[in-house]
Amino acid sequence: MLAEDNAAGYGTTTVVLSWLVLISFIITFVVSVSWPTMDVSDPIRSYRRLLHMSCGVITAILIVLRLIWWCKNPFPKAPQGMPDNAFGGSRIVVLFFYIDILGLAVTGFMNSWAMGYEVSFLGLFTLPIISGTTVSFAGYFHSVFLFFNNLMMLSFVLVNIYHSIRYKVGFRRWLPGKMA
Amino acid sequence: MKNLNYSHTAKSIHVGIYLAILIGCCLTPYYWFGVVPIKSDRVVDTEYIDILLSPIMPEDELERSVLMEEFRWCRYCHVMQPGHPDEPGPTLYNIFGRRAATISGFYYSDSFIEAGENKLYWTEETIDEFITDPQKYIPNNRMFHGPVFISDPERRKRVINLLKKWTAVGSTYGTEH
Repeated sequence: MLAEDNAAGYGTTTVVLSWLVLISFIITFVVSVSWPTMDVSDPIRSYRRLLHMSCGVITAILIVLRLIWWCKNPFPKAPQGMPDNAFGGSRIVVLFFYIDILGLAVTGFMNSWAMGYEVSFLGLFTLPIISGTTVSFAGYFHSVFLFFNNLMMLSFVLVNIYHSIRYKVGFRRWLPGKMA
Repeated sequence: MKNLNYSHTAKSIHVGIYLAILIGCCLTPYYWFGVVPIKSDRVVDTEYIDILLSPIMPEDELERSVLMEEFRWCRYCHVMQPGHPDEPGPTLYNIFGRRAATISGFYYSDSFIEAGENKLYWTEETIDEFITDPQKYIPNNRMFHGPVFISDPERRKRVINLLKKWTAVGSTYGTEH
């Protein structure tokens, strides 16, 4: 059985999924910023693009699981000393962050298909190609979600710094699955 | 949310803030990079004039440097092979002698369309003037992001030399983009 969240805090399933999403997303993000400005004829660029897409596939799978788990589980109680509205607000930041990652994944796949690339996980399995997407549309909205992602990361940091100082709930809340 | 007394007002404000940020982000690629999420349904004949190109210069150290710097940025938005009207920039394939803004499907800015209607043709001279300062040559066009201003005439000469090689009919340079 999967450990569910309860009033006291997050269950193991949420903690594990959250950590996996974080790690997978960081790898995908770091790889993504390392290749676009490389010369297009550089073979390392192609390798990194494939790695980015492979990590994107994993991140997409994890984020879908995380969002399903989010919907199926109740919110825990707010940490001691923290108003419910403030705690709810901090959860909204994370929820938008997750939705943004899903948007990045979907538009990233669309962009790859439009450019004629197959989206696979290290060649082990390949996603079915959905035709009809264009580079201009998918590329544009991949950028939109990337900008949003950067602002959500900034929001996450600012909101958590504020909550940590204002409500004295500590900085461990920044880590996935930690309440205080 | 049985464990949390999260008021509707607070939730609406929080969701509203992030939706507003998301809407702002929807406009950012246009204002920052000058790109648009759509292709154009404008159908136009790609029109050419006969021009005589100067001979291609042999590759030198400066050209290799330009290839990895300025020309790399050209290729970031433009492809050198035919087609691809939905890339951030129009294809540069067979650009010499071509009338400006005459690639069907590419969403040109109004200023570029106007320049084409005013019979701007791409020659070595017009390209040289354009890449010196694209915004001065065609005000309000959407090519303003990245190092698109090339002040050094020798480096511009190498960009044009590379364009001659990469965009020539039958060229296989830049088949991958």
